[in-house]
Amino acid sequence: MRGANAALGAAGLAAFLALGEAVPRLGLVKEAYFPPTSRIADALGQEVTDHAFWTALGDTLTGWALGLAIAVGAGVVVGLLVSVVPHLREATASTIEFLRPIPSVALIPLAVLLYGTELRSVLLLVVYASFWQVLVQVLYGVQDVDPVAEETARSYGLGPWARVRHVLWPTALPYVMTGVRLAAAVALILAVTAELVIGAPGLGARIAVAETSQAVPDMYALVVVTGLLGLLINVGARTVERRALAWHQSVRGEVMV
Amino acid sequence: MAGKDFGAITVKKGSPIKSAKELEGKKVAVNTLKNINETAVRESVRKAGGDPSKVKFVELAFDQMPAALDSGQIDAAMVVEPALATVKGQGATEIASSLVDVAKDLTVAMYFTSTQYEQKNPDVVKKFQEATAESLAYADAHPDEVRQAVTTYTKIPAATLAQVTLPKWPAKANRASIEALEKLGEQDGLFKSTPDLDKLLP
Repeated sequence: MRGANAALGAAGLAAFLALGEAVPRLGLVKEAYFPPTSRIADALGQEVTDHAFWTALGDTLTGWALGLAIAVGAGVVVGLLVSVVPHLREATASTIEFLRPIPSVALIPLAVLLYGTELRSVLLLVVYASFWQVLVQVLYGVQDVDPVAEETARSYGLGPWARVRHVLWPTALPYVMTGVRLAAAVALILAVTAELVIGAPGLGARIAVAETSQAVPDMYALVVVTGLLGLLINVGARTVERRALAWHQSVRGEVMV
Repeated sequence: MAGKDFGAITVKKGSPIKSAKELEGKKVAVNTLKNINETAVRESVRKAGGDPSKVKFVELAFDQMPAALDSGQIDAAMVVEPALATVKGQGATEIASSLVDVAKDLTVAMYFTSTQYEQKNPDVVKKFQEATAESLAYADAHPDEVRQAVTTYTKIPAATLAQVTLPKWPAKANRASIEALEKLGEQDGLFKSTPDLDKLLP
């Protein structure tokens, strides 16, 4: 089953790449603006031999990782605090619902004014976008705590900290992990967007340089790299999720009673 | 007069438009509305005997102009290098060198600092002026080295770069040309109050 799926996946990808080669070659779209797969692959081959490319990749990953770490840390702490302190959830709900839908890219002018074109600008956008993903999942997760389990823990004399540790956290963890996985993807999108628009160093800025330089295949090659990065990040996030939730029904795959 | 400048109004290969006058009623792309390029295109139209208020300006990034011109989304593009080389490579025709139409040897860009910074760091400003003057003179005298230097911080393909028309790098601002530009800006209603060149220029 697994082998068949992998084979199908590979065949699908191969067909997609072949299509990318054929469409411009047949003249359905202009080669000048949509180069065939082979020319993009050539440009990619050139890119990876360039030291500046690896520096840019490092810059993007730094912005992504730092931003994600800050967002996850802050999201979990704030989420737990808001859920545990009485009345805080109700008091903050409207503010959270107001702030959450503000698109991070709308903050670009603010980021540029505050920090110019450096890493901190990227971080502002990345953290703002991914923080809400984590926070909202934590809030939902805490809401999901089984009242019977909570009462049982109280009856057994577990203190507030022990209840957070043994009842609340295990219940919320699958939600938190979903939040982290979503945040990881969003963080990459925002890191690249920030670099592309603001010009902070990284893959996004390199895409912009290729674009203004009329280097079309190079631009597509860099876009492919960001796609691959997204793929790796998603696979990585899923692996972390599976490890952290090895004990959970959703991962154990047992029949639920 | 068209050609041999680093920026130009271009039309697609085979376009019926032969002069800037014929841009009346046509869609012309500039990189930013109400900037030096729009002012320059207006002057080209005016000089060719046309009415610039009849031109429809649209805003488009330079690097997107080749594709837009090629697909017919716009009728003409005020494009600069290196996109100009790409456009010419597609067989497009230059119908006017608009920046030259504003003034011969037009100063298109300068370094600015705030009065506050200049008063606090007169040494830095003086050294910067000397260093840029020296580098600009060197660039003007060594165009081949300029083409080489361009490859270190852009990704312009070698074939395109070879076709690129380099600008001039004067170390001093051409005050007469800026005055001409100022007059046009005033005429086009770009300023709330006319800038004081005595305060702005060194």
